[in-house]
Amino acid sequence: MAKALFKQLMTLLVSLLGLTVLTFALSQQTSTPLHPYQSSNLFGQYFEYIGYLLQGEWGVSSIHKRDVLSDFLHHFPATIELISFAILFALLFGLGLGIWAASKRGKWIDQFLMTTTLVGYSMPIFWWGMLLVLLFSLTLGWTPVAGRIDYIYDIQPVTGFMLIDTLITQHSYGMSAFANALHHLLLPAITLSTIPMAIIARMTRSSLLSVLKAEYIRTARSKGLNWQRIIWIHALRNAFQPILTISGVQISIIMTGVILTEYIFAWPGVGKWLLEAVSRRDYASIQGGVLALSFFVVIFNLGLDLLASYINPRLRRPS
Amino acid sequence: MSLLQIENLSVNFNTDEGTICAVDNVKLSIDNGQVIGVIGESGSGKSVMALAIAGLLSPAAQMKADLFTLDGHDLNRMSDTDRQKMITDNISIIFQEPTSSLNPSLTIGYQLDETIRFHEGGNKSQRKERAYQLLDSVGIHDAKRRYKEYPHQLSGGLNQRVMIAIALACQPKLLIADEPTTALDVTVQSQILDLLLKLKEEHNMALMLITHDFSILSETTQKVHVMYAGQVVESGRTYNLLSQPYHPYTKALLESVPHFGMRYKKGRRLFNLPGSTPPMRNLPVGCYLGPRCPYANKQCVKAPELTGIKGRRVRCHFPLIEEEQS
Repeated sequence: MAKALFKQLMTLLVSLLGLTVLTFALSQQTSTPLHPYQSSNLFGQYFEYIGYLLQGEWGVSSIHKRDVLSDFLHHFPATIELISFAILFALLFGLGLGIWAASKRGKWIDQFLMTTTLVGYSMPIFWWGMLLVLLFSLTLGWTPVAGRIDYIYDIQPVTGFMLIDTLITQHSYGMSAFANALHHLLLPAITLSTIPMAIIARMTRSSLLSVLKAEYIRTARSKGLNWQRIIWIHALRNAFQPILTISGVQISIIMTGVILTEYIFAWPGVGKWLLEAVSRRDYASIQGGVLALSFFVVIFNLGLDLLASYINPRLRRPS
Repeated sequence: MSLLQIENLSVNFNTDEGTICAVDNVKLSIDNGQVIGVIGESGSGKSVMALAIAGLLSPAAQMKADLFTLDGHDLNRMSDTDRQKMITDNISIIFQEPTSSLNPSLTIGYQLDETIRFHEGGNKSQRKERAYQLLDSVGIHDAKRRYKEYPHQLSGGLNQRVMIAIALACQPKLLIADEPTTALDVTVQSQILDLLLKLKEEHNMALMLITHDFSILSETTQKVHVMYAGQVVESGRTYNLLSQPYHPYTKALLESVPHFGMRYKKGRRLFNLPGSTPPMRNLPVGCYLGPRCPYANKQCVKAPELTGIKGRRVRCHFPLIEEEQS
């Protein structure tokens, strides 16, 4: 186990270093360097760049003269909130629909679900998001159009997570502010979760169907176990491996999607911040934001790998 | 009274290329505590028959039988759930590939425990005690350690013992062993067979041994059914059948096995039937063995019926019995 962990951490380190090379190259594009480098050659400058990164000096925005790292961290909680809900929706409904389709294999409901997920999978997120706004916000009036919370609530950012801040606020309207924040979160999270949900649903279905053909499922049936138990305990555990791998890839899809989604819903997160930086050619913010987001993706994937090795006992010991 | 009685059992698969009849009107009966053997080549329908009896056919298969009684109960008249309950309570089955028959992500202990919980109940410590006892009875002596291990940590032979323990936990009256030793090496094979026979005595189970190896049947079974292309072509008492086969196919099967100590002339080839097993979706007209049979003549384009001869049943127009008398 420790050896496997070490191996995982080494790959993590290598990919992180690779990322810094990329952002270092990006930071070379500006006429004025982001950091005051001592060295004149590129190689030495790269090591200085790493040093600055480790000290937390990620450069200063050329537009609004704020520190990039603190600016990023200021916007990050909003994004985390959005993507956690999107991941939650994607997993919950993706798994649910996939299991449902697999257990109704070949019936009309299976074909209906698979067609729907194919449509969901092919939906351009900016268009889909606007369609949802058009229907649910403008026509039906069920959800707010944009933003994180209504302006009538005055919430002091303590943690930066709106859902937590509304709960710990001293105001008497804390609970209704919390509900309001959830309400605002709903539509962007659904928009963002659509593509990963469709992919997870299709993967769950096909993975589950192939596992259900396995001989140990036949054994489980011969024991007289009921169908629910066979699906949840015997099949799903083994079907989870490819689903987890696919989910790991989804995080990068979500990270790209979050930029568009935040823009559509005027969500004050990293995506919107990054998009503004791009439109203003704010190289310091771009390289800082890209680096931080990539770090997040890589670490997230490491977490998933560890989870996978927990679920699959064969991966625990490298053979 | 017979424990299991089956008449005209057929299993059909509907495919894009038409209906395939994997098991064709099989008649079978097993008494309490009896050991019977089913032998045939790959694709002869013996495994499908076993799955049909154990109620484990895939939904794509259609099964029907004129008579299907288990322990005096008519399964044909039961609802699906009742039948399934009846079958899982009375019949256990073990398969050819022990390692892939066990769930790779659950421990041996868990898989055994859930079977005990379903069939015997009891609280956690009672069940654990029972699991150790079962593992011990199938010859796994470090039961406490194995209980916590996963199937990939065990050898094939040990996994097959675990499978047997799981089968025993259902307290079956009939244990179907579908090629239980094919995937194991020879020394382990005989251990597993001995174990099966020992447990059969201890638990007073009937045993149905499915194999393609005559040497296994000859030592263990009282009755043998020979299957070819989904049909039973000959059945009878093991000793008689092996010493004097009536059906040309049985004879061919027996002769295709080299015998230890027998002298073979240099350059002589082992006997084999020309051609190969006919594909299920394209069976020959009349007797299915016809095109391959050395004794076939023009009457063989009519399908032979299973007829009783001297306490045996043979599906052939020209059983080899006359040859012996002349």
